[in-house]
Amino acid sequence: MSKKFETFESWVTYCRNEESSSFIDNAAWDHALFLFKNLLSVAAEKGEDVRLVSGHLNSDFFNQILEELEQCVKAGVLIDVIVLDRSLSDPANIFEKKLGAYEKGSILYCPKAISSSLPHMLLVGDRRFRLETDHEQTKALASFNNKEMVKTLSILYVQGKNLISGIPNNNQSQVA
Amino acid sequence: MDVASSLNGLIIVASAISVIAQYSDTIHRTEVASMKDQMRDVDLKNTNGDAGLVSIKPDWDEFMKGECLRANRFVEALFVFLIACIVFHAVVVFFPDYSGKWALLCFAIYLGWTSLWLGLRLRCMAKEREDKRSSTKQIRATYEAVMSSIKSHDRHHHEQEPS
Repeated sequence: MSKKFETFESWVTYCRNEESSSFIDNAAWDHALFLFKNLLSVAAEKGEDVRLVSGHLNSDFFNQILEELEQCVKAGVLIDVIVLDRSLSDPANIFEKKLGAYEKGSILYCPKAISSSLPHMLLVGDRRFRLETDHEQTKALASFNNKEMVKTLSILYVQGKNLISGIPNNNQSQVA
Repeated sequence: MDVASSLNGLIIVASAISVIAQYSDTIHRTEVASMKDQMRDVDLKNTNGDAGLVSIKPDWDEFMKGECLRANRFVEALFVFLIACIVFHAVVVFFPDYSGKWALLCFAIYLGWTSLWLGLRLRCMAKEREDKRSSTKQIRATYEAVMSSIKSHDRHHHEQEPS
């Protein structure tokens, strides 16, 4: 975090407002949540597509970003999600239900056999991202303006999606 | 204030600036070398045409050259300046009739000019460090993400091979 910002939140807010190309390091659950909220808000605000790769959609986390999901739904942005481990599916997850019911939303579940290695990431449009570099320690790198990185991550996302789609018996809940 | 006292003042200021330049140069060089060391385990010599790895290879190549801005020329310039000051000091002491005001003015201008350029160089070095830190993060994160993705694909292809 830059020295002139006292809190993580003020640093993220600055980067978001200024569309800064600086990298934001985060290694805490609440930091991840704050970044998700901000990235989804920007997606709704600017009408940018959202692509997400997550281990599982745990309700503790994802039920806290329902407001931002609602904003995205209202803005009509595409939300494309890959869930790597369906066995951890949580019945209390409202996020998953709402996304499943959204006409421009899709959730692709992937078999455990190929799941663990795909990098967890959230991509918004062509320049905003959050990439987990160490899932166990919630370490991640994010930016609100880095086209080069998002371009590379988009390639990985598409490759991963194609790989999962090519496996028989995969379950894609709904595709816009 | 006489010429000798003014000259002493210039010598003290030049010495201090020289120490700052040397210190900044060492810090900068050490940090860049350390970042280069950290990048050694990221091996992009053979990208196998992978789009993700190809995208970070130019940055990685640049990094592995290990070249960085330096301030050592300014340290040398200030060292020469200090020697000139010592010689001039001796001249003033041995030839009391020589006022040396114009020479003193030239010394002051030289020191001011060198300090100005040194300041600009130190600023560029700070920016270079910041850029390299950013670049390190980007290369490492992208590399790890690409390698994870490659592992997934390899595992999938391996499972599909007939036993």
